[in-house]
Amino acid sequence: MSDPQSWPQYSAVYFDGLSARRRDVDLRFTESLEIREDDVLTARWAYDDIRRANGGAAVVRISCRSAPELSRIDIRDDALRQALLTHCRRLDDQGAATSDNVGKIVGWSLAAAISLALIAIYGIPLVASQLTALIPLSLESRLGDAVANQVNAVFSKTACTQPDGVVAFNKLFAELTTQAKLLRPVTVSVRESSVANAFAIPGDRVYVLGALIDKADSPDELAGVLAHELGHVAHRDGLREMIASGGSAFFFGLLLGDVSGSGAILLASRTLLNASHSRSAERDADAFSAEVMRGLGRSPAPMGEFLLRLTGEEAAGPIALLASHPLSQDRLAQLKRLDQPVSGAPLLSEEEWTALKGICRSP
Amino acid sequence: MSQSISLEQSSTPPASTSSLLFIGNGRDFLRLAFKGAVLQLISAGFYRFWFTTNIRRSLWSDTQIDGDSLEYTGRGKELLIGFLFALAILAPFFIIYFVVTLEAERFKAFASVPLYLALYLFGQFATFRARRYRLTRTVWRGVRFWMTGSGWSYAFRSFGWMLLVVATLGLAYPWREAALERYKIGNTYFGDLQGEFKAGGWSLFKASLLVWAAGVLLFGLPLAYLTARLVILGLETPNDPAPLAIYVDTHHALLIAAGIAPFAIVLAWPIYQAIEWRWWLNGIRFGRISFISRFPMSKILMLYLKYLGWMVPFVAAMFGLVVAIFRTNGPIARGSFPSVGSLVSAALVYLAALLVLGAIHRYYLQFRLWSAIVQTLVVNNLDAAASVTARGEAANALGEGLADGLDVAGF
Repeated sequence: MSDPQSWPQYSAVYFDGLSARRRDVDLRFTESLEIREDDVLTARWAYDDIRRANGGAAVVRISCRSAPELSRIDIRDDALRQALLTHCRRLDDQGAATSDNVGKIVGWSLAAAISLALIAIYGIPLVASQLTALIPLSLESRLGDAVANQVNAVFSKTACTQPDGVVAFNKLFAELTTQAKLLRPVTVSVRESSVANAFAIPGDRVYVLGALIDKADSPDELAGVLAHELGHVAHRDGLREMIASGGSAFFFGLLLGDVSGSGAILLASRTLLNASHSRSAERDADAFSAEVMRGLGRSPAPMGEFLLRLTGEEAAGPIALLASHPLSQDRLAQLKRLDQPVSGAPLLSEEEWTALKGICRSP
Repeated sequence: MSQSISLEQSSTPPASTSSLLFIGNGRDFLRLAFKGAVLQLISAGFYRFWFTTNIRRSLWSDTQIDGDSLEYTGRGKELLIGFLFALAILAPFFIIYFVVTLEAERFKAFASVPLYLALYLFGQFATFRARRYRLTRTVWRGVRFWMTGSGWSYAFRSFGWMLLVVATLGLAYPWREAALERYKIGNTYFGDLQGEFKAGGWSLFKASLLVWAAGVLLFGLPLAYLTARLVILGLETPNDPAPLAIYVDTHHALLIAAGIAPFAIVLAWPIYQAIEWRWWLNGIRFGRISFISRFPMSKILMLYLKYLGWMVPFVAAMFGLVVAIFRTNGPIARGSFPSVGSLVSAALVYLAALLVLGAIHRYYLQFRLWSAIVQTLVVNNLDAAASVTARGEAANALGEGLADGLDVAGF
């Protein structure tokens, strides 16, 4: 052992991690870092265990992995900093407060973001389809009850009940459901409304809004739309869409949080995604409708013409990406590809069609 | 040696005061804030755990109490893990929540309201647990702060007091604050030194009475009056907008008052915050250690105004830029749609604006505000800290994760 006086000695502030007492100490660099208070050896820190801690700009603060967790030495002396750097080679290794690797964090974040995007685009629709098949009809019909309450609130509660019209409507609907070979009974309701629309909700329910019947020029036009809604029922699209949009809302909202407030952009991408899922469901329902109409020996094309008449020629452009339905002209084109000459009897007689048109008139 | 011993032995030790110092550099902080915002953006938000950690590290370590800086020992990775745990809890909770809401709404509309209370409790729990995480990562002179108490107990207290606040139309709010702080600070320790909250609801009530009164006079009354008149008018003449126009003509003064009100709120809110913080800091005790805050209201007001002074023209400029982008593609006619190019550039402008605004907000309302609060704070009898023995364990970051997932904040 050499004479201790010959080692260079520096003063520093020591916190032992056991009490909050501030201790003025001397440091000596021997085979390890010696901490001496009033010339008495207080602690020894092995060089390889010493790591940098956060002390701010004014000091170099170090900790030691083999000492109490929060013991610290604050160093203000420049010569001491230099001595420290030459002795403690692992100052900024793992365990140091400064060792965050930004490149690694961003890289992994991007990988995570990409896999999340893939899950959102391909995974969620797939899971939604699988779950749809697993969800019992009783549960779906409960969901339908909740949606039905909303339908009542948003649209009219008043059903159209003109007796002759109801008879004609039921006849048309029965022909379609028989041809569609649905495994479950479908509930249908015609509602007074100035909106020309029809839609299916979970629980095998179809709603027809009055103005749609007003604007239809022939039984085939209306039948095509109804068969399209039966397509949604057969594919359980309402339920699937609920699961998928609920899933993606949860996914984007909760997992990514509010990316520095860019919630609006997240919302936009979600809308885009949901719309694209919904457009493919619509094309499938159109194909289903065409199949039913062909089965009845009728032409599927009138439905396409009817839709185009309702919406007018639609502009293609980026907004079309946001639309939940394909463009009407594209749908007409698809239906025309599936068209066939009329071979069967009309679905309704002239008198029945007139009665049906009057279904929403007060009896 | 003998002298200092004789001093300590005197029966009433003279109150010693130590001041706090904040040595942060604004330029460095702005750089940190901008860099963090950019990284957060390119990492799809995941960098936020490390960003938050870096901001706290910087604020803590630039704060010196009696010459020794605070240390924040938390890690970004801990926040990430806390967040993932929170997801594992929140995911099934939200699914159950969804199903229960659905069932409840089947029977009666609004039957699901009690479920919002569950969310409120969750939020309060998260606030308490996040506070515990932050405290156990706060170290001074080698000793950490830590907390006892239960997050659920706190959540239920908070809820009970909230009911009382609602029932008293807000009058009970100062007493709620005092009671909750008594619970939080009473459960806070520095080593083996237990905290205590001495300030009462009454003193906060008195200190903030003027702000409340001004708020009610400037905002509450005109708004209530206008609403009542408009509702009555609407009921009397449901389909005729004419009386509304006459009414507007004859009540300019009130409308102007209602128009000024939002600006008054902008001024009243920081003033109230200054009052509450001063009340809070002055109420904290750790044994013999106490605090005196001389935080001036004018300071916080200036910081808010500076922030608004940057924000308002900036937002206006960004808005103008977005409009200009769309205009370059010709006027937006009904039925025609902007090009993909202009949509993308508008989105980019929007994101860039968010980044800059976030950094300005952090600079004025975190960095400068923290600096002002610290610099006007004095500690009494800090020598009592020398005999503190280290205790307490580091708590997990679950609360931080829950608070992140539920979008709640608080301390």
